[in-house]
Amino acid sequence: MDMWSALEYGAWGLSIVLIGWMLVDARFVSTTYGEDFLLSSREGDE
Amino acid sequence: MGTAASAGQQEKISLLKVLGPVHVWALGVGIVLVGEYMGWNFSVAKGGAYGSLIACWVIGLLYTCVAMIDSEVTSTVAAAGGQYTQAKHIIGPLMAFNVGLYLVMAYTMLEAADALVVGDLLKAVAAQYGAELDPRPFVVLTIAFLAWLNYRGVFMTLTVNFVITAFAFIAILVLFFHASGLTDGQSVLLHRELLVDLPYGWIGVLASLQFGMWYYLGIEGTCQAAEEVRSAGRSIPMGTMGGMMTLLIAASLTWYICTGIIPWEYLGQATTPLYDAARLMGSVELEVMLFIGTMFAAIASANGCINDASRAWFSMSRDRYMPHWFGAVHPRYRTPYRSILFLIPIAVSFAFTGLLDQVITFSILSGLLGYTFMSFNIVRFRRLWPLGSIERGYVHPYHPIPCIVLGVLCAATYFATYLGYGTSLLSIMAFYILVSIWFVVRRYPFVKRGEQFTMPWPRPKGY
Repeated sequence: MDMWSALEYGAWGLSIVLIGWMLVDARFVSTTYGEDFLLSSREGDE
Repeated sequence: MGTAASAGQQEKISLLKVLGPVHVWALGVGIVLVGEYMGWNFSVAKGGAYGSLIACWVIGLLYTCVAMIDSEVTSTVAAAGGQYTQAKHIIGPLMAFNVGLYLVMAYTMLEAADALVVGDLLKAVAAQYGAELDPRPFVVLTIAFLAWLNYRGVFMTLTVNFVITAFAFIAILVLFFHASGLTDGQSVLLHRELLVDLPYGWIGVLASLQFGMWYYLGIEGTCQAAEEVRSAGRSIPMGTMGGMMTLLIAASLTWYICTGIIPWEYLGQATTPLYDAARLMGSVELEVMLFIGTMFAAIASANGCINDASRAWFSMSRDRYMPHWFGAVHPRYRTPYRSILFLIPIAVSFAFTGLLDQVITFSILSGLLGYTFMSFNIVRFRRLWPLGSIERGYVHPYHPIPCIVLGVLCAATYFATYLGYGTSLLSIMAFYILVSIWFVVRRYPFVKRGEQFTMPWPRPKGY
Protein backbone atom coordinates (compact mmCIF):
# COMPACT_ATOMS: atom_id res chain seq x y z
CA MET A 1 0.00 0.00 0.00
CA ASP A 2 1.53 3.33 -1.06
CA MET A 3 1.42 6.60 0.89
CA TRP A 4 -1.56 7.97 -1.05
CA SER A 5 -3.69 4.89 -0.41
CA ALA A 6 -2.76 5.09 3.28
CA LEU A 7 -3.88 8.73 3.32
CA GLU A 8 -7.21 7.78 1.74
CA TYR A 9 -7.83 5.07 4.36
CA GLY A 10 -6.70 7.47 7.08
CA ALA A 11 -9.19 10.11 5.90
CA TRP A 12 -12.03 7.56 5.85
CA GLY A 13 -11.04 6.34 9.33
CA LEU A 14 -10.78 9.81 10.85
CA SER A 15 -14.12 10.82 9.32
CA ILE A 16 -15.78 7.77 10.88
CA VAL A 17 -14.20 8.54 14.29
CA LEU A 18 -15.34 12.19 14.22
CA ILE A 19 -18.89 11.47 13.07
CA GLY A 20 -19.09 8.52 15.48
CA TRP A 21 -17.95 10.73 18.38
CA MET A 22 -20.66 13.27 17.62
CA LEU A 23 -23.36 10.58 17.35
CA VAL A 24 -22.31 8.97 20.64
CA ASP A 25 -22.19 12.36 22.37
CA ALA A 26 -25.61 13.34 20.98
CA ARG A 27 -27.07 10.05 22.23
CA PHE A 28 -25.47 10.61 25.65
CA VAL A 29 -26.94 14.12 25.87
CA SER A 30 -30.40 12.88 24.89
CA THR A 31 -30.36 10.19 27.57
CA THR A 32 -28.90 12.46 30.27
CA TYR A 33 -31.05 15.58 29.84
CA GLY A 34 -34.78 16.00 29.39
CA GLU A 35 -36.18 17.08 26.02
CA ASP A 36 -37.99 20.04 27.60
CA PHE A 37 -34.65 21.41 28.78
CA LEU A 38 -32.79 20.77 25.51
CA LEU A 39 -35.60 22.43 23.54
CA SER A 40 -36.11 25.37 25.94
CA SER A 41 -34.19 27.95 23.89
CA ARG A 42 -36.27 30.93 22.71
CA GLU A 43 -35.31 33.81 20.43
CA GLY A 44 -34.63 37.03 22.28
CA ASP A 45 -33.63 35.21 25.50
CA GLU A 46 -30.76 36.91 27.34
CA MET B 1 -25.59 26.09 32.28
CA GLY B 2 -28.22 27.75 30.15
CA THR B 3 -29.71 31.02 31.18
CA ALA B 4 -30.12 31.70 34.83
CA ALA B 5 -33.25 30.11 36.20
CA SER B 6 -34.85 31.56 39.24
CA ALA B 7 -36.71 29.47 41.78
CA GLY B 8 -40.00 28.12 40.53
CA GLN B 9 -39.13 28.69 36.87
CA GLN B 10 -38.22 25.95 34.42
CA GLU B 11 -34.47 25.88 33.75
CA LYS B 12 -33.72 27.12 30.25
CA ILE B 13 -30.82 26.88 27.85
CA SER B 14 -29.62 29.19 25.13
CA LEU B 15 -26.82 29.63 22.60
CA LEU B 16 -23.65 31.09 24.10
CA LYS B 17 -23.03 34.84 23.71
CA VAL B 18 -19.26 34.94 23.29
CA LEU B 19 -18.59 36.49 19.88
CA GLY B 20 -17.24 39.92 19.00
CA PRO B 21 -16.88 41.96 15.77
CA VAL B 22 -13.75 40.02 14.77
CA HIS B 23 -15.69 36.74 14.76
CA VAL B 24 -18.48 38.31 12.73
CA TRP B 25 -15.85 39.51 10.22
CA ALA B 26 -14.32 36.01 10.16
CA LEU B 27 -17.72 34.45 9.51
CA GLY B 28 -18.65 36.76 6.63
CA VAL B 29 -15.28 37.12 4.91
CA GLY B 30 -14.48 33.46 5.61
CA ILE B 31 -17.52 32.29 3.65
CA VAL B 32 -16.80 34.63 0.73
CA LEU B 33 -13.05 34.80 0.20
CA VAL B 34 -12.93 31.47 -1.68
CA GLY B 35 -14.79 33.35 -4.44
CA GLU B 36 -11.68 35.50 -4.95
CA TYR B 37 -9.52 32.39 -5.26
CA MET B 38 -11.83 30.78 -7.84
CA GLY B 39 -15.11 31.33 -9.62
CA TRP B 40 -15.07 35.13 -10.16
CA ASN B 41 -12.97 34.63 -13.29
CA PHE B 42 -15.88 33.00 -15.18
CA SER B 43 -17.18 36.57 -15.44
CA VAL B 44 -14.09 37.27 -17.60
CA ALA B 45 -15.20 34.56 -20.03
CA LYS B 46 -18.62 36.24 -20.32
CA GLY B 47 -17.63 39.91 -20.56
CA GLY B 48 -13.85 40.13 -20.92
CA ALA B 49 -11.50 41.67 -18.35
CA TYR B 50 -13.18 45.08 -18.29
CA GLY B 51 -16.62 43.41 -18.18
CA SER B 52 -15.47 41.49 -15.10
CA LEU B 53 -14.28 44.72 -13.45
CA ILE B 54 -17.66 46.36 -14.12
CA ALA B 55 -19.37 43.27 -12.66
CA CYS B 56 -17.03 43.43 -9.65
CA TRP B 57 -18.06 46.98 -8.82
CA VAL B 58 -21.74 46.77 -9.85
CA ILE B 59 -22.24 43.60 -7.81
CA GLY B 60 -20.12 45.23 -5.10
CA LEU B 61 -22.77 47.95 -5.00
CA LEU B 62 -25.49 45.27 -4.73
CA TYR B 63 -23.74 43.67 -1.76
CA THR B 64 -23.00 47.03 -0.12
CA CYS B 65 -26.76 47.63 -0.15
CA VAL B 66 -27.28 44.10 1.25
CA ALA B 67 -24.72 44.72 4.02
CA MET B 68 -26.21 48.11 4.98
CA ILE B 69 -29.82 46.88 5.02
CA ASP B 70 -28.90 43.68 6.84
CA SER B 71 -26.86 45.55 9.44
CA GLU B 72 -29.75 47.83 10.31
CA VAL B 73 -32.40 45.11 10.63
CA THR B 74 -30.13 42.59 12.36
CA SER B 75 -28.93 45.16 14.90
CA THR B 76 -32.51 45.05 16.25
CA VAL B 77 -33.06 41.26 15.91
CA ALA B 78 -30.65 39.52 18.28
CA ALA B 79 -31.70 36.05 17.13
CA ALA B 80 -30.14 33.21 15.16
CA GLY B 81 -31.69 32.62 11.77
CA GLY B 82 -30.75 35.99 10.32
CA GLN B 83 -32.96 36.85 7.36
CA TYR B 84 -35.36 34.02 8.28
CA THR B 85 -36.09 35.70 11.62
CA GLN B 86 -36.37 39.09 9.93
CA ALA B 87 -38.90 37.69 7.43
CA LYS B 88 -40.93 36.05 10.20
CA HIS B 89 -41.31 39.29 12.14
CA ILE B 90 -41.62 41.70 9.24
CA ILE B 91 -43.37 39.86 6.37
CA GLY B 92 -44.97 36.63 7.60
CA PRO B 93 -44.65 32.84 7.97
CA LEU B 94 -44.64 31.78 4.30
CA MET B 95 -41.94 34.31 3.40
CA ALA B 96 -39.99 33.23 6.50
CA PHE B 97 -40.19 29.56 5.51
CA ASN B 98 -38.92 30.33 2.01
CA VAL B 99 -36.12 32.60 3.23
CA GLY B 100 -35.07 29.98 5.81
CA LEU B 101 -34.93 27.38 3.08
CA TYR B 102 -32.94 29.71 0.77
CA LEU B 103 -30.39 30.04 3.57
CA VAL B 104 -30.12 26.33 4.34
CA MET B 105 -29.85 25.39 0.65
CA ALA B 106 -27.43 28.20 -0.24
CA TYR B 107 -25.03 27.44 2.61
CA THR B 108 -25.23 23.65 2.51
CA MET B 109 -24.59 23.60 -1.23
CA LEU B 110 -21.75 26.09 -0.93
CA GLU B 111 -20.28 23.93 1.84
CA ALA B 112 -20.47 20.88 -0.45
CA ALA B 113 -18.77 22.82 -3.26
CA ASP B 114 -16.01 23.99 -0.90
CA ALA B 115 -15.37 20.43 0.27
CA LEU B 116 -15.23 19.31 -3.38
CA VAL B 117 -12.60 22.00 -4.00
CA VAL B 118 -10.47 20.72 -1.09
CA GLY B 119 -10.69 17.18 -2.49
CA ASP B 120 -9.80 18.33 -6.00
CA LEU B 121 -6.82 20.37 -4.77
CA LEU B 122 -5.41 17.33 -2.96
CA LYS B 123 -6.03 15.23 -6.06
CA ALA B 124 -4.07 17.80 -8.11
CA VAL B 125 -1.17 17.62 -5.62
CA ALA B 126 -1.10 13.81 -5.88
CA ALA B 127 -1.19 14.06 -9.69
CA GLN B 128 1.95 16.23 -9.59
CA TYR B 129 3.70 13.28 -7.94
CA GLY B 130 2.30 10.85 -10.53
CA ALA B 131 -0.26 9.32 -8.15
CA GLU B 132 -4.01 8.97 -8.52
CA LEU B 133 -5.92 10.07 -5.43
CA ASP B 134 -9.59 9.44 -4.70
CA PRO B 135 -10.88 12.85 -3.48
CA ARG B 136 -14.03 11.45 -1.79
CA PRO B 137 -12.51 10.53 1.62
CA PHE B 138 -11.02 14.02 1.86
CA VAL B 139 -14.37 15.60 0.95
CA VAL B 140 -16.02 13.62 3.77
CA LEU B 141 -13.16 14.38 6.17
CA THR B 142 -13.41 18.13 5.47
CA ILE B 143 -17.15 18.14 6.20
CA ALA B 144 -16.81 15.83 9.23
CA PHE B 145 -13.94 17.76 10.81
CA LEU B 146 -15.58 21.15 10.37
CA ALA B 147 -18.92 19.82 11.63
CA TRP B 148 -17.07 18.46 14.69
CA LEU B 149 -15.47 21.86 15.25
CA ASN B 150 -18.89 23.56 14.96
CA TYR B 151 -20.41 20.96 17.28
CA ARG B 152 -17.81 21.71 19.98
CA GLY B 153 -18.44 25.44 20.20
CA VAL B 154 -18.87 28.61 18.19
CA PHE B 155 -15.97 30.54 19.76
CA MET B 156 -13.27 28.11 18.66
CA THR B 157 -14.98 27.61 15.29
CA LEU B 158 -14.90 31.28 14.37
CA THR B 159 -11.48 31.89 15.98
CA VAL B 160 -10.08 29.23 13.65
CA ASN B 161 -11.96 30.89 10.80
CA PHE B 162 -10.39 34.24 11.66
CA VAL B 163 -6.84 32.83 11.53
CA ILE B 164 -7.21 30.97 8.22
CA THR B 165 -9.25 33.74 6.57
CA ALA B 166 -6.68 36.36 7.60
CA PHE B 167 -3.94 34.16 6.09
CA ALA B 168 -5.87 33.83 2.81
CA PHE B 169 -6.41 37.61 2.66
CA ILE B 170 -2.76 38.38 3.46
CA ALA B 171 -1.70 35.95 0.71
CA ILE B 172 -3.60 38.12 -1.82
CA LEU B 173 -1.87 41.27 -0.46
CA VAL B 174 1.57 39.63 -0.67
CA LEU B 175 0.90 38.52 -4.25
CA PHE B 176 -0.19 42.06 -5.13
CA PHE B 177 2.95 43.64 -3.63
CA HIS B 178 5.20 41.20 -5.50
CA ALA B 179 3.32 41.38 -8.82
CA SER B 180 3.11 45.16 -8.90
CA GLY B 181 6.80 45.59 -8.08
CA LEU B 182 6.24 47.40 -4.78
CA THR B 183 8.78 45.07 -3.11
CA ASP B 184 11.61 44.99 -5.70
CA GLY B 185 10.65 47.72 -8.17
CA GLN B 186 10.00 45.27 -11.03
CA SER B 187 6.36 44.91 -11.98
CA VAL B 188 5.36 41.77 -13.88
CA LEU B 189 1.92 43.12 -14.74
CA LEU B 190 1.17 43.59 -18.44
CA HIS B 191 -2.16 45.40 -18.42
CA ARG B 192 -1.22 47.55 -21.43
CA GLU B 193 -0.68 44.43 -23.56
CA LEU B 194 -3.35 42.12 -22.12
CA LEU B 195 -6.40 44.32 -21.62
CA VAL B 196 -8.75 44.47 -24.61
CA ASP B 197 -12.10 46.12 -25.31
CA LEU B 198 -15.35 44.39 -24.40
CA PRO B 199 -15.18 41.19 -26.53
CA TYR B 200 -18.96 40.53 -26.49
CA GLY B 201 -20.17 44.11 -26.04
CA TRP B 202 -22.49 45.25 -23.27
CA ILE B 203 -24.62 42.06 -23.37
CA GLY B 204 -21.43 40.25 -22.30
CA VAL B 205 -21.04 42.68 -19.40
CA LEU B 206 -24.64 41.99 -18.37
CA ALA B 207 -24.04 38.23 -18.58
CA SER B 208 -20.93 38.58 -16.40
CA LEU B 209 -23.03 39.91 -13.48
CA GLN B 210 -24.00 36.36 -12.52
CA PHE B 211 -20.38 35.36 -11.89
CA GLY B 212 -19.60 38.76 -10.38
CA MET B 213 -21.57 37.48 -7.38
CA TRP B 214 -18.66 35.16 -6.57
CA TYR B 215 -16.67 38.14 -5.35
CA TYR B 216 -19.07 38.64 -2.42
CA LEU B 217 -21.52 35.70 -2.15
CA GLY B 218 -22.24 34.91 1.50
CA ILE B 219 -21.30 38.18 3.31
CA GLU B 220 -24.93 38.41 4.44
CA GLY B 221 -24.24 35.29 6.55
CA THR B 222 -22.81 37.50 9.29
CA CYS B 223 -26.27 38.08 10.76
CA GLN B 224 -26.64 34.36 11.58
CA ALA B 225 -24.33 35.10 14.52
CA ALA B 226 -26.75 37.64 16.02
CA GLU B 227 -27.81 35.38 18.91
CA GLU B 228 -24.22 34.52 19.82
CA VAL B 229 -22.56 37.96 19.81
CA ARG B 230 -22.09 39.85 23.05
CA SER B 231 -23.62 42.99 21.51
CA ALA B 232 -25.64 42.56 18.32
CA GLY B 233 -26.12 46.30 17.90
CA ARG B 234 -22.33 46.86 17.80
CA SER B 235 -20.77 43.64 16.50
CA ILE B 236 -23.02 42.86 13.52
CA PRO B 237 -22.72 46.27 11.78
CA MET B 238 -18.96 46.51 12.53
CA GLY B 239 -18.21 42.95 11.39
CA THR B 240 -20.44 43.14 8.30
CA MET B 241 -19.35 46.56 7.03
CA GLY B 242 -15.70 45.79 7.85
CA GLY B 243 -16.07 42.51 5.96
CA MET B 244 -17.58 44.26 2.96
CA MET B 245 -14.67 46.73 2.84
CA THR B 246 -12.20 43.84 3.04
CA LEU B 247 -13.95 42.08 0.16
CA LEU B 248 -14.05 45.19 -2.04
CA ILE B 249 -10.27 45.52 -1.57
CA ALA B 250 -9.64 41.78 -2.10
CA ALA B 251 -11.87 41.66 -5.20
CA SER B 252 -10.26 44.70 -6.86
CA LEU B 253 -6.71 43.47 -6.11
CA THR B 254 -7.55 39.97 -7.38
CA TRP B 255 -8.87 41.38 -10.66
CA TYR B 256 -5.84 43.68 -10.99
CA ILE B 257 -3.29 40.91 -10.41
CA CYS B 258 -4.89 38.22 -12.56
CA THR B 259 -5.77 40.40 -15.57
CA GLY B 260 -2.22 41.73 -15.60
CA ILE B 261 -0.64 38.28 -15.74
CA ILE B 262 -3.08 35.93 -17.52
CA PRO B 263 -4.64 36.65 -20.97
CA TRP B 264 -8.42 36.96 -20.64
CA GLU B 265 -9.11 33.95 -22.92
CA TYR B 266 -7.27 31.69 -20.43
CA LEU B 267 -8.30 33.52 -17.29
CA GLY B 268 -11.98 32.96 -18.14
CA GLN B 269 -11.47 29.18 -17.98
CA ALA B 270 -8.95 28.86 -15.13
CA THR B 271 -9.90 26.74 -12.11
CA THR B 272 -7.65 28.50 -9.58
CA PRO B 273 -6.69 31.89 -11.12
CA LEU B 274 -4.81 33.40 -8.15
CA TYR B 275 -2.74 30.23 -7.70
CA ASP B 276 -2.09 30.15 -11.46
CA ALA B 277 -0.94 33.78 -11.33
CA ALA B 278 1.50 32.90 -8.52
CA ARG B 279 2.84 29.94 -10.53
CA LEU B 280 3.39 32.14 -13.59
CA MET B 281 5.49 34.52 -11.48
CA GLY B 282 8.01 31.69 -11.00
CA SER B 283 8.39 32.03 -7.23
CA VAL B 284 8.12 28.77 -5.27
CA GLU B 285 7.39 30.67 -2.04
CA LEU B 286 4.49 32.55 -3.63
CA GLU B 287 3.20 29.34 -5.23
CA VAL B 288 3.16 27.55 -1.87
CA MET B 289 1.59 30.54 -0.11
CA LEU B 290 -1.21 30.85 -2.67
CA PHE B 291 -1.84 27.08 -2.64
CA ILE B 292 -2.26 27.21 1.15
CA GLY B 293 -4.36 30.36 0.74
CA THR B 294 -6.65 28.58 -1.72
CA MET B 295 -7.00 25.59 0.61
CA PHE B 296 -7.61 27.80 3.67
CA ALA B 297 -10.17 29.91 1.80
CA ALA B 298 -12.17 26.81 0.82
CA ILE B 299 -11.99 25.40 4.37
CA ALA B 300 -12.99 28.74 5.95
CA SER B 301 -15.93 28.98 3.58
CA ALA B 302 -17.15 25.47 4.39
CA ASN B 303 -16.69 26.17 8.10
CA GLY B 304 -18.77 29.36 7.97
CA CYS B 305 -21.41 27.65 5.85
CA ILE B 306 -21.86 24.88 8.44
CA ASN B 307 -22.27 27.56 11.12
CA ASP B 308 -24.88 29.48 9.12
CA ALA B 309 -26.87 26.57 7.66
CA SER B 310 -27.17 24.97 11.11
CA ARG B 311 -28.36 28.24 12.71
CA ALA B 312 -30.99 28.73 10.01
CA TRP B 313 -32.21 25.12 10.36
CA PHE B 314 -32.13 25.43 14.16
CA SER B 315 -34.21 28.62 14.11
CA MET B 316 -36.81 27.15 11.77
CA SER B 317 -37.04 24.04 13.96
CA ARG B 318 -37.29 26.10 17.15
CA ASP B 319 -40.41 27.70 15.65
CA ARG B 320 -41.64 24.26 14.43
CA TYR B 321 -41.35 25.24 10.76
CA MET B 322 -39.26 22.05 10.67
CA PRO B 323 -39.44 19.18 13.20
CA HIS B 324 -39.04 20.66 16.69
CA TRP B 325 -36.48 17.98 17.62
CA PHE B 326 -33.80 19.84 15.64
CA GLY B 327 -34.23 22.93 17.80
CA ALA B 328 -32.15 21.48 20.67
CA VAL B 329 -29.13 23.23 22.20
CA HIS B 330 -26.16 21.20 23.51
CA PRO B 331 -26.03 21.65 27.30
CA ARG B 332 -22.22 21.75 27.42
CA TYR B 333 -21.11 23.30 24.13
CA ARG B 334 -24.24 25.46 23.72
CA THR B 335 -24.46 24.80 19.97
CA PRO B 336 -27.42 23.63 17.81
CA TYR B 337 -25.87 20.15 17.76
CA ARG B 338 -28.73 18.19 16.21
CA SER B 339 -28.98 20.62 13.30
CA ILE B 340 -25.22 20.41 12.74
CA LEU B 341 -25.38 16.59 12.74
CA PHE B 342 -28.43 16.44 10.47
CA LEU B 343 -26.84 18.59 7.76
CA ILE B 344 -23.68 16.41 7.48
CA PRO B 345 -25.24 13.70 5.26
CA ILE B 346 -27.05 16.37 3.22
CA ALA B 347 -23.78 18.18 2.46
CA VAL B 348 -21.97 14.91 1.70
CA SER B 349 -24.79 13.88 -0.67
CA PHE B 350 -24.55 17.18 -2.58
CA ALA B 351 -20.76 16.83 -2.73
CA PHE B 352 -20.89 13.24 -4.00
CA THR B 353 -23.00 14.25 -6.98
CA GLY B 354 -19.77 15.89 -8.23
CA LEU B 355 -21.88 18.46 -10.09
CA LEU B 356 -19.95 21.52 -8.92
CA ASP B 357 -21.52 23.81 -11.56
CA GLN B 358 -25.13 22.95 -10.72
CA VAL B 359 -24.53 22.93 -6.97
CA ILE B 360 -22.98 26.41 -7.11
CA THR B 361 -25.70 27.75 -9.43
CA PHE B 362 -28.40 26.51 -7.06
CA SER B 363 -26.53 28.14 -4.18
CA ILE B 364 -26.17 31.49 -6.04
CA LEU B 365 -29.83 31.53 -7.05
CA SER B 366 -30.96 30.82 -3.50
CA GLY B 367 -28.78 33.72 -2.34
CA LEU B 368 -30.23 36.00 -5.03
CA LEU B 369 -33.77 35.18 -3.94
CA GLY B 370 -32.76 36.17 -0.42
CA TYR B 371 -31.37 39.55 -1.59
CA THR B 372 -34.58 40.26 -3.49
CA PHE B 373 -36.49 39.66 -0.27
CA MET B 374 -34.27 42.17 1.56
CA SER B 375 -35.14 44.98 -0.86
CA PHE B 376 -38.83 45.02 0.12
CA ASN B 377 -38.25 43.75 3.66
CA ILE B 378 -36.49 46.98 4.67
CA VAL B 379 -39.32 49.12 3.24
CA ARG B 380 -41.84 47.28 5.39
CA PHE B 381 -39.50 47.34 8.40
CA ARG B 382 -39.15 51.12 8.23
CA ARG B 383 -42.93 51.47 7.80
CA LEU B 384 -43.86 49.19 10.73
CA TRP B 385 -41.06 50.32 13.04
CA PRO B 386 -40.09 53.88 12.01
CA LEU B 387 -36.85 55.46 13.26
CA GLY B 388 -37.13 56.13 16.97
CA SER B 389 -39.73 53.41 17.62
CA ILE B 390 -37.16 50.66 18.21
CA GLU B 391 -33.51 50.78 19.30
CA ARG B 392 -31.24 50.36 16.28
CA GLY B 393 -27.49 49.68 16.54
CA TYR B 394 -27.07 51.05 13.02
CA VAL B 395 -29.24 53.14 10.69
CA HIS B 396 -28.40 52.82 7.00
CA PRO B 397 -28.26 56.16 5.12
CA TYR B 398 -30.23 57.49 2.13
CA HIS B 399 -33.25 55.19 2.55
CA PRO B 400 -34.97 54.22 0.19
CA ILE B 401 -32.17 54.57 -2.41
CA PRO B 402 -30.23 51.42 -1.28
CA CYS B 403 -33.33 49.21 -1.46
CA ILE B 404 -34.28 50.55 -4.91
CA VAL B 405 -30.71 50.00 -6.17
CA LEU B 406 -30.74 46.51 -4.66
CA GLY B 407 -34.04 45.62 -6.36
CA VAL B 408 -32.87 46.89 -9.77
CA LEU B 409 -29.52 45.08 -9.55
CA CYS B 410 -31.22 41.84 -8.45
CA ALA B 411 -33.49 42.07 -11.53
CA ALA B 412 -30.45 42.59 -13.79
CA THR B 413 -28.69 39.60 -12.21
CA TYR B 414 -31.79 37.39 -12.70
CA PHE B 415 -31.69 38.31 -16.38
CA ALA B 416 -27.96 37.54 -16.52
CA THR B 417 -28.58 34.17 -14.89
CA TYR B 418 -31.40 33.46 -17.30
CA LEU B 419 -28.99 34.03 -20.21
CA GLY B 420 -26.60 31.35 -18.93
CA TYR B 421 -28.64 29.05 -16.70
CA GLY B 422 -32.28 29.56 -17.72
CA THR B 423 -33.29 25.96 -16.99
CA SER B 424 -31.69 26.05 -13.53
CA LEU B 425 -33.45 29.35 -12.76
CA LEU B 426 -36.86 27.95 -13.72
CA SER B 427 -36.18 24.65 -11.88
CA ILE B 428 -35.30 26.40 -8.64
CA MET B 429 -38.38 28.64 -8.89
CA ALA B 430 -40.54 25.52 -9.37
CA PHE B 431 -38.83 23.86 -6.40
CA TYR B 432 -39.58 26.75 -4.05
CA ILE B 433 -43.20 27.00 -5.25
CA LEU B 434 -43.72 23.27 -4.56
CA VAL B 435 -42.19 23.39 -1.06
CA SER B 436 -44.26 26.51 -0.31
CA ILE B 437 -47.43 24.55 -1.11
CA TRP B 438 -46.18 21.72 1.14
CA PHE B 439 -45.52 24.21 3.95
CA VAL B 440 -48.95 25.82 3.76
CA VAL B 441 -50.89 22.55 3.43
CA ARG B 442 -48.90 20.13 5.60
CA ARG B 443 -46.43 21.91 7.86
CA TYR B 444 -47.92 25.17 9.08
CA PRO B 445 -50.67 23.43 11.11
CA PHE B 446 -47.85 22.17 13.43
CA VAL B 447 -46.58 25.70 14.11
CA LYS B 448 -47.62 27.16 17.47
CA ARG B 449 -48.35 30.63 16.17
CA GLY B 450 -48.04 32.60 19.42
CA GLU B 451 -44.79 30.89 20.52
CA GLN B 452 -42.77 31.93 17.48
CA PHE B 453 -42.80 35.63 18.47
CA THR B 454 -40.90 35.92 21.75
CA MET B 455 -38.71 38.90 20.78
CA PRO B 456 -39.32 41.84 23.15
CA TRP B 457 -40.17 44.24 20.30
CA PRO B 458 -42.62 47.14 20.58
CA ARG B 459 -45.97 46.75 18.81
CA PRO B 460 -45.66 47.68 15.09
CA LYS B 461 -47.14 50.94 13.88
CA GLY B 462 -50.78 50.49 12.86
CA TYR B 463 -51.34 47.27 14.89
